Amino acid sequence: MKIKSFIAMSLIAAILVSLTPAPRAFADGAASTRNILLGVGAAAATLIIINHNKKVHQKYAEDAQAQAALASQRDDARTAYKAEVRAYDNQVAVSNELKKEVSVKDSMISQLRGQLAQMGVQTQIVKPGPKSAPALAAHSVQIVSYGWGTL
Amino acid sequence: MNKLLFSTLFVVSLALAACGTGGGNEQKLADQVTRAVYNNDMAGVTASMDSSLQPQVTRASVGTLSDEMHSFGTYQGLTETGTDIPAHRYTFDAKFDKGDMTVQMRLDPDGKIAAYRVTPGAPH
Repeated sequence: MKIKSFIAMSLIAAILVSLTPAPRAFADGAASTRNILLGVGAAAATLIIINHNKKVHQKYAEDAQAQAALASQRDDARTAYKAEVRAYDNQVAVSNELKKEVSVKDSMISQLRGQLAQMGVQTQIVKPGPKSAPALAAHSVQIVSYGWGTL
Repeated sequence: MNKLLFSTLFVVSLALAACGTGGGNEQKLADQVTRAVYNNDMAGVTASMDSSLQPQVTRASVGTLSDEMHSFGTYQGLTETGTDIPAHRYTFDAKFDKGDMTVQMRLDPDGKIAAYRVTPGAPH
């Protein structure tokens, strides 16, 4: 119950912070820094909730799995089957939470990439050439370039 | 015979001087912009840029690049290492106290800067 109320309070706090009227943006980078922090804060709150849900469903799945094992030991096929179904449902819920987490992280990455582009920073993935050492051949290298315009 | 040799040498040296002057202009421009970025001088950075590139330059982006350059130490100058004449694209090796950065620049047909990018590390 305590965790739920903590999550609810952090969510309300995140919403209130995001509703706060923003001061006029100046071109000194402070506004974009504030926007980055707000965005990261909201995304972090979402990730906390997702992570909590994931842990809860993981626990339910483990409990149901243990019950299934016990029922199986007792040779109670019907109860074992029901517990297995419950464990499966909870694993599906964990998988859904993981999908949500990936989606939130993807949006965070694209948001941060946008912020970097505004700062004139570009990232480029470069795959190693055929002459690269075998140990490096499987890895691509990320090159960061600063500046303006396309060459 | 001597006259012919001297006149040939004279023509060759004139041609070399002309080539040198043409190549040095881009280098001078790249050096100006690089120094302006290093000094966090927004007006100096945008002075030689064309009208499409100027709006992309913000104080924050100049500051970010300036900080990155300062992490390589004191700027010592740059030398041209590659040229793509048809594309008006030039590559320079910018020397710093603690390492090199690659400066790449593209000029528009009027000789204004249409793109200016810096990558940590020496040109390949």
